[in-house]
Amino acid sequence: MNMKQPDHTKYREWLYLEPDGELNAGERSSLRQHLSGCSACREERQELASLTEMLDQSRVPVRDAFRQEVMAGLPAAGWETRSPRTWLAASVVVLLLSIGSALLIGGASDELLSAAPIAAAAAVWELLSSSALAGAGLLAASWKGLGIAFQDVLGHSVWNIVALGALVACLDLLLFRLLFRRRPVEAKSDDRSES
Amino acid sequence: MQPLPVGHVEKMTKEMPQPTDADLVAAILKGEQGLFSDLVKRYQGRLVNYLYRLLRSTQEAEDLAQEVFFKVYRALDRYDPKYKFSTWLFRVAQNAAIDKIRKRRLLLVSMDRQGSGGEDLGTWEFASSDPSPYGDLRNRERGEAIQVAIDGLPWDYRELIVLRHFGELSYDEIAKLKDMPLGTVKNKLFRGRQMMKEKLQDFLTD
Repeated sequence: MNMKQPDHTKYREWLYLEPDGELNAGERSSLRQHLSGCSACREERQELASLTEMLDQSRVPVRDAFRQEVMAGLPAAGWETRSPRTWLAASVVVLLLSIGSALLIGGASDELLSAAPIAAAAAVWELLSSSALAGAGLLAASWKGLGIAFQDVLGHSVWNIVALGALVACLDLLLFRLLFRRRPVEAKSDDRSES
Repeated sequence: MQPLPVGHVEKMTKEMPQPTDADLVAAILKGEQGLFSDLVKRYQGRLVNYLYRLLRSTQEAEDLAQEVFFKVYRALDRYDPKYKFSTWLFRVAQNAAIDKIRKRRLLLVSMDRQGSGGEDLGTWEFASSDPSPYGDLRNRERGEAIQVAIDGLPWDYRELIVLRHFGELSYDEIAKLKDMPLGTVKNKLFRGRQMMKEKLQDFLTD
């Protein structure tokens, strides 16, 4: 079967595609054949090679410190907190701290000395549950946490409530005075209107 | 058993299999954030050169390349491994560069309104005081001629030439990045290079 030969324009296009590896084996072979008999295309190919070389040589170098600067300035990304490794590291630290604290508490208690492993386990449980509670409170950034703190402070005696009431009243008074004090400019204009 | 070709073992030991971009991204998302450095190393030269040719300032190109890496890092969990990482990175870079050029243009328009004269934005847009990376006069001339030739191309040709020669993207990657048929990319690159060749004729025949 006789395949139709590409025309000169097509070969010129192929000259530009060849260095980028965009021709198949058949096209490359056909182009080579055409080049052997076409001086204009050979010249164009040479010029194209010079152009490519010229562009390659015009690349600017990147500073050595560039990569370190990028790495040093990396922002915090949301996905980092979802990374299993981040959670694993945090969990291991919490667990180790809890176990260490529990052992200290258990070891320091004479009464529980005989039952140290049970005491340690109980302490670990207590610490973990307290941490979870505190964490949940912080996560919600809630009034509930504040409420718990107030309850803790006020729940012990009546005098605590009285002291807090006095403190709030003093703060209110201070705020009231700051808001309603006379400003010098206003005072001057008042004087003028009076005269 | 057929004997291995000469140099095969040497080639095997020399050419250790490199993790793909997608492998690196997966490892980073699993917690090995330090591996982002490998991605930066792979793309810093191409990205800075691509941006340099659009912005004409090495300082601005490096600053913007940094911003692009930061943006990509922040959004790394949204990377879809079905697509090439390079295409995604250069799309972010392209948008950042266009934003930067737009801001410059707005600045120039406001300067123009303040009475600095009626300069042509097309030539002002890429004006730069950045020194050429070329040392001697001849090379400096060549460097400047290349930049003038690139700046003289219509925007869509310029973009494609810069993506191919300085971003080192393949035709296929460019087609995906620009949402263009592959044939159009080939055609525009062909015409763009022809225009470049004409503009740089004096330097090509040396």
